[in-house]
Amino acid sequence: MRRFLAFITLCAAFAATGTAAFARPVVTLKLVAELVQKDAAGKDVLTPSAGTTVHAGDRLRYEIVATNAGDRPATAVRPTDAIPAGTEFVAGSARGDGKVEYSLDRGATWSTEPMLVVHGKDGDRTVAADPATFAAIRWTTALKAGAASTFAFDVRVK
Amino acid sequence: MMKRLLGTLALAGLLSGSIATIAGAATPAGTVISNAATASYGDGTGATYTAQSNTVTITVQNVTTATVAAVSPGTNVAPYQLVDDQYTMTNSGNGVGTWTINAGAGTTQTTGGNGGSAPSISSITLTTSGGTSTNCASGAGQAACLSTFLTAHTTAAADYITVDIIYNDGSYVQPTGASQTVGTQLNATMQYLAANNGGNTTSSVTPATAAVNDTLQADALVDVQKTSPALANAGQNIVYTITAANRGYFNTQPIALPGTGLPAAGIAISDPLPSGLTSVTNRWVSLPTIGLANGASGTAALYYTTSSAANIAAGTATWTAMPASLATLNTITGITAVAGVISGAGSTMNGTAQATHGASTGPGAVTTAQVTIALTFTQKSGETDVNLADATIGSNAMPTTPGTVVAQAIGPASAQPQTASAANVGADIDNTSSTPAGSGYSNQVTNVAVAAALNIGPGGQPAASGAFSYAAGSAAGWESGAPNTSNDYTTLGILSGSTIVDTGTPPTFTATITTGGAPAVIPVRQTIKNNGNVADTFVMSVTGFADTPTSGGSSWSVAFSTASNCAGATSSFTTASVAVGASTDVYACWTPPAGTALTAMTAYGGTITATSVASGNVVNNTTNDVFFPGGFLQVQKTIASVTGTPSATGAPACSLTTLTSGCVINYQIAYALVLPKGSGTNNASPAGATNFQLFEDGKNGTNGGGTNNWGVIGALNAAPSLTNGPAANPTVTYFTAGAVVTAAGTGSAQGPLGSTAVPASTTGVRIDFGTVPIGGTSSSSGTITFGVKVN
Repeated sequence: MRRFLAFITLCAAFAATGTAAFARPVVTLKLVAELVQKDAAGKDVLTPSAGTTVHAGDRLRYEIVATNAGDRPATAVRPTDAIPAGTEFVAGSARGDGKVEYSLDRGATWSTEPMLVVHGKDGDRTVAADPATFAAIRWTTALKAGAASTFAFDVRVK
Repeated sequence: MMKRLLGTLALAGLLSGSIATIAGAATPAGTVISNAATASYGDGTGATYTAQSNTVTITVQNVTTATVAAVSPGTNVAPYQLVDDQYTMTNSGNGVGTWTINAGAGTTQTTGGNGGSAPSISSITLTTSGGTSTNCASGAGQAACLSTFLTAHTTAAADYITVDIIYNDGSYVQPTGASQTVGTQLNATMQYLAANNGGNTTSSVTPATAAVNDTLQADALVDVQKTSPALANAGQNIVYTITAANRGYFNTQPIALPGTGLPAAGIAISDPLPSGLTSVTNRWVSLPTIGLANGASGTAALYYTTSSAANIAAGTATWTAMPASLATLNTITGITAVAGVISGAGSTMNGTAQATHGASTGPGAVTTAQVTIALTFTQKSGETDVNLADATIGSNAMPTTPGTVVAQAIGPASAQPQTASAANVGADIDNTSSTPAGSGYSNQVTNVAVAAALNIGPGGQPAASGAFSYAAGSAAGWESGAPNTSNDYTTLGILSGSTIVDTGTPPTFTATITTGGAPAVIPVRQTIKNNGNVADTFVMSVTGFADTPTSGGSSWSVAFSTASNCAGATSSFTTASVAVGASTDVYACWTPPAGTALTAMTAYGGTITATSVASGNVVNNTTNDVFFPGGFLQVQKTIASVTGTPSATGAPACSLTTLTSGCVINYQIAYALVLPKGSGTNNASPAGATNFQLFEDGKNGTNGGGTNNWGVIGALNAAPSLTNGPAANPTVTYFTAGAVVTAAGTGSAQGPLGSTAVPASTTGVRIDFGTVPIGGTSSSSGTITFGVKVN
C-alpha cells in the first residue's frame, strides 16, 4: 500500500512536470470551451470562452485533448465528461476517434444509442432517448506513446 | 446485459418527463457552468489509471427574451359591448425583468364604417401568475397605475403577467349591416434588471407586441332614455318619460319571457321604482301611458310588479297587466312595457331608411322606431318620505362586466349626470336573433327634479320671520342685539364719520346730517340657508326702500359682498354654491350719499331678496334699515315777550328795550325730539326719549357757566305749550340760590308746573317731561314759557 501511494505520487509529479519517464502510459487531459457561432458561410467560428460569459441558447463546444506522455501505449482510454448542469447535449455533435457512448444516468450505464422504454396503454415500446437528456459522454480508444487525440462535443446553454 | 440496460433505461424513461421539463427551463442568469473531464486507461497489463482535466467555468448571461401573446381569440361582439381581450406577457428569458406597457396599447379599428362611435379602452387589468391583480381605469391616471403595479411586480424567468384590456367596441359598423373588425393591441417592453444581468451594469430591453381582432356585428341597438323635468317644486307634477329607440341595423326580435306573465314581444322595458314612488295613492297622479312611433309595431302594453326583489327585471319578476284605473292599484315596485318589433335601419320605415349605428343622440332626435312610457307623479308639499327631486327611477349603476353592453350617453348627459337605467331584458338580452348575440340596451339620462327652497334673514337667523317690533329696552331685531326668529328685520344705526348740524328755527326744528368725506359703507349681515334638495346659488337684490330721502339728494346705493368689511362689494352678486342644508353669509353694503345734507332724520332701508338660481322663481326676503339710533333733542331759548309794570314811578313802560325793576321777561324754550321715524313695510321706530328734562339756571353762559344776571324768577306760566309731546303736564323743580341745577339735584320746592308759587329765592328751574314718545312719523316738539321778574 505504501508502495502504491509512492507510485501515485510519482505519477502526479510526472503529470505536473512532464519530464519524468516511466515504463507505462501516462495520459493527461486538457479541457477547453469555445463559443460556437456561424459565419456568413455557415461555417463554425470558435471563440474561446473559458472564464467568460455566455447567454442562454448559446452553443458551446468542449474539447478534451488527451495526450499520452508515457512511453507505453495506453489502452482502453476513456475520456469521459458529464454534460454540465445548465446545458444540454447537442445531438450529433460528438467528435473524436473511438467508440462514443452516452449515459442517461450520469455514468451508471452507457450505450451508443440510449433507449427508453415507454409504457403506453398499448404496451411498452422502446424509443431512442432525446440527446438533450444525455447526462454524460465518453469515448473508448487507444493512444500510442507520445500520441494525442482530441475529443469534442457541443452543448447548448439552457 | 441488454436486459439490464433496458430495465435501467425503462427507469430512465420514467424520468424522461421530468428531465424534459427541466430542459425546458432557461438556466438562470448568473449560473456558473463548471466542467471537467476525466479519463481512465490501461497499459495492456491489466493495470488501470485515471486522468483529470482542468476545470473550465463559464457564467451564464441574461437573455433578453420577452413575449406578448393574445390569449383570447377574436370574437364576435355587439355594438357598445364591453369586450375583454386577454393577453399574457411572459418573461421568456432567464433573468428577472420588469414589464412596461407602452402608450401604443389601445384599441384598433378598421376604417370604412359609417362614422359611428369608435372603440375605446374602458380599463386594463393586470394579474400576476400568483393572482395579485389591479384594475387601471382609462383616463389620465391609467399609465401611472400600470407603471406602479408592474414596477412593484417584477417577473421572474418563465413567469408571466396576464393583461385584460377591456374596451367598449363602439358602433363602427357599415350602414349595410356588414360587420367591422375592431380589437386591441398590446405593446409592451421587458427590461431586465441590471442586478440580475450577469454582473453587467446595463440593463437590456426587448419589445413585444400582440393584437386581438374582434368582429363587430351589425345588430339591433336599443337605446333607452329616461328624462324628467329639470325643475320641480312642491306640488308640481313630474312626468318621467322613458323612450326606447332602435338605432341599430336589424329589427329587434321577439323574446319570450316564460313564467313572468309577460307576452312575447320585440322589446320589454323594465323599470324598478324607488320606494318613494311605489305608493300609488301617495304619489301617482295617473296611470302610466305607452305609445309607439316611427315603425314600432305590434301590441304595446304595460305591466306592473309587486316583487320585493332588490333588482327587478322584466325577465325575473312576475308581472301583472296594468289595470284600467288607479283606484284598483296598490303599491307596486316596478313597471314593464312590452311592445312588438322595433324596426332597425335594415328595414324601411316611413319611406326612408332609418338611422344607423351612430353616436347616440337620444330617442326622438332621429326618426327611429320608438316606444315611449310616461309616468306622472306629484311632488307633494311637506312630504317627508322621499323627495321626488332626489329620486331616480331605475339603477344608476353602469355595467362594468365584460360581455355586457354599456350605456351610451344620450341627450344632456353632461348637464344631467343622474343616470337611470331601463333595459330590455330577457333570455335574449339583445332582442335580436342575429348570430351571434348583438347589442342590447343603453342606460340613459334622467333629469333631476329640483325643489329649491331657501331662507334669508338677519345674520345667523336665516329662518327669522315676522315684522320688526320694537319694545322699549329690548335690543331684539337690532344688529347690536341678538337677532331671533321673531324679527326678519335688521336695523343698523351707525353712520361713521357723519356730523349733525342744528339748522332749525322754532317752531320748526330740523337738522343737517353730513356724511364725512368718502361715503361710509354700512355692512348689514344677512344669512341665507339652502333648504332645497340640490346645491344652489342665490342672486341678491334689493328693492322697495322702506324710506326714501326727503332732501331730494342723491340716493343711497346698495351692493353685496361676502366680506364683513364689504370688500369687493358689487351690485350684481350671486353667491357661491351652497350645499343642501348649508348656510352662507352675505353683507348688504349700504352707502349713504356723500356730503349730502339731509333735512329729515329719516331711516333708509329696503327689502333684501335672495333668488334661487336652481329654480329661478323661489325667493325669500328680509328687511334692512339703517338710521341714527336714539336721535337727539334740539332746544332753543328765546324771549317771547316782556310784561309787567316798573316799580319806580315814572319809569318807562316795560319792553325789550326798557327793562326796569318790576318788569317781567317771558322766556320761551322750544324743544324738538328728533328721532328716526318709522314708515314702510316692517318698519318702526324707537318709542322716544325718556327722562326728558329742561334746565334753566338763569346764567348767561353755557352748561352752567357765567353768572345770573337776570335776578330771581318772578313767575312761570301756568302750563307749557306742548305739541306732539306728553299728554301729562311736566313737573317743575325750583332751585334756590347756590343750588346746582342738575338732574340729580334737589330743589327747594317741587310741584306741577304753574301750581306752586315761585319762591323768592329761586335761581333755577328744572322741568321734567318724563317720557316723550315719538309722535307718529314726525318728531315730538313743544314750547314752554316762563316769566322772570327783574329785581
